[in-house]
Amino acid sequence: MVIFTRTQRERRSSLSNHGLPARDPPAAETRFEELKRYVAFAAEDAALLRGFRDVAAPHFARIAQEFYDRIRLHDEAHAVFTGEAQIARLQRSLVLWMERLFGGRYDEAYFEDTAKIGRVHVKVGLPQRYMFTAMALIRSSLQRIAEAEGPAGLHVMDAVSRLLDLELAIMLESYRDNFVARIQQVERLERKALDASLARTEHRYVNAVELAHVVIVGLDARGAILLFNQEAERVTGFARDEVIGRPLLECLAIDETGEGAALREVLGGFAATAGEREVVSRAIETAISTRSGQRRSVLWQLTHAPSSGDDVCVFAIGRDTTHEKALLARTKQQEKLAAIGTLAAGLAHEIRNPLNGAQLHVTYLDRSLKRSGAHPELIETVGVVADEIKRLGSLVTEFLAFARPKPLLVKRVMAQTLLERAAQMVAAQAHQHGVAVELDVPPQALELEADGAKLEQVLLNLTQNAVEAVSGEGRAGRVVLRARRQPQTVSFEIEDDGPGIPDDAPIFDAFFSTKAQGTGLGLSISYRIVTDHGGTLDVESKRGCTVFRIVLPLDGPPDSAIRSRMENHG
Amino acid sequence: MLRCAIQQPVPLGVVTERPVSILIVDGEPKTATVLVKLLRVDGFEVEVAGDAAGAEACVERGPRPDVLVMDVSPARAGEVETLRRIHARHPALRLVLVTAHPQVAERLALGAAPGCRIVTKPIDYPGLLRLLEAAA
Repeated sequence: MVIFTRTQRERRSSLSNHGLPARDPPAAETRFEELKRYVAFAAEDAALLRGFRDVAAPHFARIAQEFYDRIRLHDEAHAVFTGEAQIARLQRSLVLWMERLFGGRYDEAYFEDTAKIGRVHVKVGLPQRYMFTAMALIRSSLQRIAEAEGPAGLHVMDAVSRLLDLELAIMLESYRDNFVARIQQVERLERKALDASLARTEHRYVNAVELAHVVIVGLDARGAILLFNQEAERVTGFARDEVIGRPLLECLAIDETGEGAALREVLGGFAATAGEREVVSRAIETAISTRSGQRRSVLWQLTHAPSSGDDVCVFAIGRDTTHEKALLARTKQQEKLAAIGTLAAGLAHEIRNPLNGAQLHVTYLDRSLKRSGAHPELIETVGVVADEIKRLGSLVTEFLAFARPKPLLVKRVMAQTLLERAAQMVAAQAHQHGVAVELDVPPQALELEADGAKLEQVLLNLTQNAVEAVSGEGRAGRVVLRARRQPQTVSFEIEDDGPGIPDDAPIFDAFFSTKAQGTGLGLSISYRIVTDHGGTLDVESKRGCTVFRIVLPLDGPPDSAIRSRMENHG
Repeated sequence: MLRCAIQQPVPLGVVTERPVSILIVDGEPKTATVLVKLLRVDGFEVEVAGDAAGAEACVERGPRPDVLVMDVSPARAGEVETLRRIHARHPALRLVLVTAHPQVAERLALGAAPGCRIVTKPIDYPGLLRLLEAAA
């Protein structure tokens, strides 16, 4: 490494000359001056060397020859050179170098030349050990010449030794400079690799977080949101910039009771422990509110992983379990119904066979009594038995329809047609009780994929219920049958202005009935048919206005969507 | 004679001189007996068989009835096969199946004898009468 700039060196050269005092170094001396001071190379040495030049010069060619001959005997040293041509060139350079040694001017230019030679050594890859041993060879050759000069030669020997030490020291600097440069290069490469590695790590983690189909939320020590991934945005409907900095619990309106309280407790526990250890909570399922106010279910796992380099100290990892829960509930319900269905089918056989015998016998009895002109009271009594048997028979049939319905026969049906038929079928009954049945449907055809017969059964059941409810009022009542289209669904409404349904009446429960002859299965069957279609059936009721609302998917039941599409295209 | 005619009314739609003949197949003798009584009063010519095999023998022996009213149960093996054979040999013979399992019966019997009618127990007698009149 060249430590000085040219201007510095020139300025110093003009200030100082060789033969600096050995003590009290100047405030700013060059590296060469410093070295000369160390080996005590003085002006006398320079003069001695200059004076010895003529004696030594005739030996230079021979010394160079011997030097390279020695190298030719040594495999490892010889291997440094590329060939004889290079050796011949270097041999000439060696002669020039020796002439330079005895030049008598040892200034900064001299220093620079030596440094240059050192750099060449580094460049050709000459190992330092050969530079040392080579220098020793030349030193001994030159010393032998000086020795031959007798006592006067002793001072020359000293001067030669000092100068060669200087040469060696300057050349070694080149090795050091090279070493430093190489270390810097290695550092540069390492830094580059580190930067690349950081970029790679960032790319991987950012993508893992953003593309994962799990909610990932990072919180600071106060529970405020600092990280909110794409899935979190999708599930909650909130954009990142709307929630960053806000408390998670408040943003998602997490309950203060039940599992919501458990989640709060875990977060509170994390905040209380300042420790740096990683703590993972149990899975906690809470309801959250989306941006649009819908409630969804999320299964959370919280991890406390504080780090001195990051404000995020809690990671809340969540999975949207809304559909899963609904599906599970539906599956459970279906399993329950399937078990009841199996039982009911077995029971149906056991009930229907004896009922059959009973019914036929009662029919015979009834006929015989009528023929023989029996007392009307007797005939009526038998009639009651016949009615009860009939009722039992229809109970079995309805219960089976509820517990083990026939598979849906999904086809394209028109909402208007279904409601018109229901209206027609109750027309006589409605007319008899002075109930007006009105249709409120859109003028354009409203079609959906459904089991028309079953849906008609549901609509008829609800319409009949409505007419009966209004009939009991003893005044002119009104029933409205309504159909509306939504983006993905069709809704049917059966509205009446009857007395309403008490809040606590479990109307959808099997066997609940307010009618003397009812089996209590009508609404249960309707409910089942609607849910089998992937739809919902609910009711809003107050005195003077009761609305049963059915919402059905346009494309039919979820599991039949693929099937019916295939049938349509196949 | 007039009184007798009232006691045994000729079913609607059956205005032929020959009464409609029915073969009842029921393993429950008491039930079969009362059904036979009712149908005879209503002007049908009625025979009874105890099971499917008996019914098949009866049909083969002749004279072939107009309608076969048969109690079927998925629990009784071979019944559907017998039904298939009878229907194959006598496609004009009307079939009315009485069952406690209408859905299962529908599935099994419609394959064996297309066009057969299914009546769910307990039998609604006026309903059965209408069916038989239509069948004749």
